[in-house]
Amino acid sequence: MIVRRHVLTILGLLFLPFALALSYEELQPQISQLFNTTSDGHTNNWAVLVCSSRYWFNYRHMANTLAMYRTLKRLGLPDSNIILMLADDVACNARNAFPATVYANSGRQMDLYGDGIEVDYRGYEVTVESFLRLLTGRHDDNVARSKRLLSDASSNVFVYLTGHGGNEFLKFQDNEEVSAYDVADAIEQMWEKRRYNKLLYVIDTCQANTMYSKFYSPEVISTGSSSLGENSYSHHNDLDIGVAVIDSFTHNILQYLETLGKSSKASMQEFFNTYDPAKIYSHPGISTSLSSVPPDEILVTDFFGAVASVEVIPKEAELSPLARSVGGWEATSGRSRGIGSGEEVDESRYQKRRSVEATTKSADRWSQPLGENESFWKWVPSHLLLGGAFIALYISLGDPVENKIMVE
Amino acid sequence: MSVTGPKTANSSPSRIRKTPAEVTAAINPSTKRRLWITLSFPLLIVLAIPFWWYVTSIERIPLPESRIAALENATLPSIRPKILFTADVDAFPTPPPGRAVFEHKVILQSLAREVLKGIDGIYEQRRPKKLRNWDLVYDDDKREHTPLRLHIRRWEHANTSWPLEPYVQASETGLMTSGIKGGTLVIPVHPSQIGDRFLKQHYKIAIINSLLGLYPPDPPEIPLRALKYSPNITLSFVLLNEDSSEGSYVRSWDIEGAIRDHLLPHLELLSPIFNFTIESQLLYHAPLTFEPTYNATDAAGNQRAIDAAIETGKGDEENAKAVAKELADEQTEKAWIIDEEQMKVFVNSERWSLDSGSTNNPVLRFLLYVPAAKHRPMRLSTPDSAQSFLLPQFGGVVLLNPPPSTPSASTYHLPFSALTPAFHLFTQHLYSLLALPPTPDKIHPSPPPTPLHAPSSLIQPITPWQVHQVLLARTRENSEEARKTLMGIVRLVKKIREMKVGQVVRGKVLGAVERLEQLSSNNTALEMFILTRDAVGLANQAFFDPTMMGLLYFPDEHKFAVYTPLFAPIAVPLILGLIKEFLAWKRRRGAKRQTMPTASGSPVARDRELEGRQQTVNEDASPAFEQTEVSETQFAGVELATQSNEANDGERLTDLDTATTERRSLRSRSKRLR
Repeated sequence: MIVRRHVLTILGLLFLPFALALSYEELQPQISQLFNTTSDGHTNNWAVLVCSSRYWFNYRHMANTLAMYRTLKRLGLPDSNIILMLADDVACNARNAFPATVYANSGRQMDLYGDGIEVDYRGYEVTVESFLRLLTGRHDDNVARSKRLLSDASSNVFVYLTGHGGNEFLKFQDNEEVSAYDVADAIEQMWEKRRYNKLLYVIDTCQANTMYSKFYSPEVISTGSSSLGENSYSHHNDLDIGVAVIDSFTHNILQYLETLGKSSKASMQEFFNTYDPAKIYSHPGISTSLSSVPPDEILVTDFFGAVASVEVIPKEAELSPLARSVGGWEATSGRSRGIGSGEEVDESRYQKRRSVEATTKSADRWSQPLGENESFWKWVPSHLLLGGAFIALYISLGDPVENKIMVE
Repeated sequence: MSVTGPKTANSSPSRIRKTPAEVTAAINPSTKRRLWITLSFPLLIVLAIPFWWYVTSIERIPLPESRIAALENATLPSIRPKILFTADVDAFPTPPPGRAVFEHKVILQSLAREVLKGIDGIYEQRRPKKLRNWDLVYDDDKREHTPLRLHIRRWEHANTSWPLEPYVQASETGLMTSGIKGGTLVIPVHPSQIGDRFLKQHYKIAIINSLLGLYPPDPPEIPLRALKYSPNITLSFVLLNEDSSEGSYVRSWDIEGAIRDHLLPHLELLSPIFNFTIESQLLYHAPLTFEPTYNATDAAGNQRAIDAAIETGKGDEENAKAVAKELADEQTEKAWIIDEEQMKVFVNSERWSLDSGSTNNPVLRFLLYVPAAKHRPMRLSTPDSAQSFLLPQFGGVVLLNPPPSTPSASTYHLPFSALTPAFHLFTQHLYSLLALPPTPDKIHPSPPPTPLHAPSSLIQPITPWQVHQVLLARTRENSEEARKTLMGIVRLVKKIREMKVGQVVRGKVLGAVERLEQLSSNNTALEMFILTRDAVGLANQAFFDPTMMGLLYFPDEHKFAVYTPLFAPIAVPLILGLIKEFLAWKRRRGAKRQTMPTASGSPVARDRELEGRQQTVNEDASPAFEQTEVSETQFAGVELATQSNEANDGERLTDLDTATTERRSLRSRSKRLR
């Protein structure tokens, strides 16, 4: 009897570790590791888009930023994670021939200022101080959530700056400037407070590469439009708007990003490979020395995408079908506050559809207020006129000089 | 230094005479005064330097660096909570007559010894080795009740078969209660089992198993998907109708009831750790950004579910058949499939307004998605998955299709029972997103007070055991975060010279340091947690203090570029004045040295003439050499004065008591100047 008891005890104790080894607590970390599929362990993305210059003739900087904003949203980044700083409101500028619109191309194919634009800092709110406070998170208590960069150690942050700059500075609002040292220090503070996992810094301004030359914090990838002593040029004008509509570096970035989908697997290296100094008219710079991961192992969507990963809940978590079937939906009586019910539904739906059609039509018309009759040959008269003017100018200026030379 | 002025009245007008010495002497201030005036400007600048220094210096109060450095290496003191071990008096067999009768407590202690030995042995075998960090006590401490209790309960409704089925007692209300405090780990034993020979082993195994599950040697890690600790958390429940303009949409839901029954029991015990705010809303138009594909669902998973349903529903034939039929329908039916890539972009934040955005607290969103009639049924493509997925640090999504038996109507109300499956999942999402440890498998659900009550289908509320683990995990997280932040502040202040450190920041840093230093193993888990929570709060406040902004950096070239146009024009006359004074002083010194031996002699011929004049002008004239100095150095001044203040010159000159010839000549000069 006693022997049996001991054997049972020993057996029980022998099997205990095995039973425990498979217990839930042991499996849990393994399961969560399986689920964690992202390469670098980030769970959310943030973007800071800054246009630092005001005035109508800087239209292109606003367009740069808004085009970048649109691309980010198209790739799925929610508005709550994009901090958009626009130093001026060109859409409502009195000189804008197409009110309440901003275009980034001469054909005015796409209105960047359509619906769902959330400008977080605008006009005179865009200052060096507010930009640095945004990065470091040192706000007053009463600053709204939408104006804060609430990133953490598992966030990938994308910072885009455009405006007028020079050697190691970027001008804000024509009256102050942020230096490369300040931005570098701000990023170091972000790193110390673990406000990013990886940071992508893109800047489109003259001598842009000097603006990231002072960085010293880890996990920062930076790229700029032009090297020291070079200007960053605009890409093209729109003759009806009357100003340049986009900068060539941003234009080239966007051209590439436009080819990507939300679930693209393109790497940052592929993105950098699209740089062509001949097209950009300047020598774009790339700095990846601070990053521990080479750019060919980082996805473009790690910065421009939306959600890094989802975890599907296993079937076991669901309530058992027996318990589930208890609950049914209750039909509510039609007459009351519903949008439509009973026989009235059809009619109202019909009406609704019709009204929707009507609004879309009118919306169509509004989207291109002046450019309706645009045809392929439209450019000919203006170009002919321009050519004629040039020839006339050439003749009027050229002749006396020639004479002089001949006299001499 | 050419002095121009009429020499005599009747000399030729073309020649310009020197200014008479008496004039210059009268107009110009004395040498001393002049020197003071010239020096006053540089003096002012010199005196202003301390003020300028004070005004422009950056306030950098020293931080307690050594104390922070000491904290860097400090480990979190481990605490040793006590688990109260009790048993019903009749939970142990009464010894047969003639055998020694042991005291109840002695029996408990001997059982506890076995249990501790078993657990220590298991920990010993783990790699890396673990140490048990709790103790068993047998008497309740009246002053501080331990929340962790273990009780052996003799119960008529317990399972009569082995092994024992430990459970954690849910808190009970009503008339029929077990009398056991909620949260106690209960080892139920049926009266018929008490006589068993191996009862002690069974007790031991049951206790070891459940304690190992409920009190793991290390607190759970905070996974990436979970929220970082924040004292305030907003939960946002949103029911989204994909398109209610098409009709057949959900117009109301019993959200209050669902939150009350499903969530509040879990949240209440967490109240010392988190402060929850709950908001809910219904959206009527929540379009997707993509078009799901219409396809057949994965059949294998469902087949298994059907089998399981039939299996479990044996007793309740009617119900099981209905369920099986529904599942079979599901299987044959095609559905709108959402694949994993689409799940990533499922939440259309651009078009859906998910939370009020009224707080700066982190928000967890629980989305109950009702597809439009044209997209029903909507399913996830992954086989063997619930109709739900989790977005790390964001929230959870549950797809809700109407059950096949639903009558067609244009609007629906979701009663509590229809929300139960969804909230069952939401509760698990919440556990996942807040890194709350789930109830271990070994622990059975708490039985209803009597068998008359139906067992609850709800997830059992969080137990004090789990709350204890959450406290430990969050304490560790917070103390690490606080220490990292403090060290970060120290490093940044050293690195960035332009950064200001004010009294407020210092106070907050000190507060955080003090709290971290107060941590000791004598504290309870809750005390430790509160200390670290406040420490991390203060450290964050210090780090994010708006005054902690470094001044902007300007390279030296910029400073020159800004200050030179401002200061150069001011500096030129000041410096030139100083140089002139210096030269004059030197000359005076030279003159003094020359004139010293012959007191009345005059050094220069021109000066002699001036000297003579001077003596006629001033009866009480000072020694000759002084006068010569004045005349020599101040001609330029006279010239300036006469050109600028002609009118005054005339007035002052007439007052002089001079020789008539001189007066005449002066008058003519002043006239000329007028």
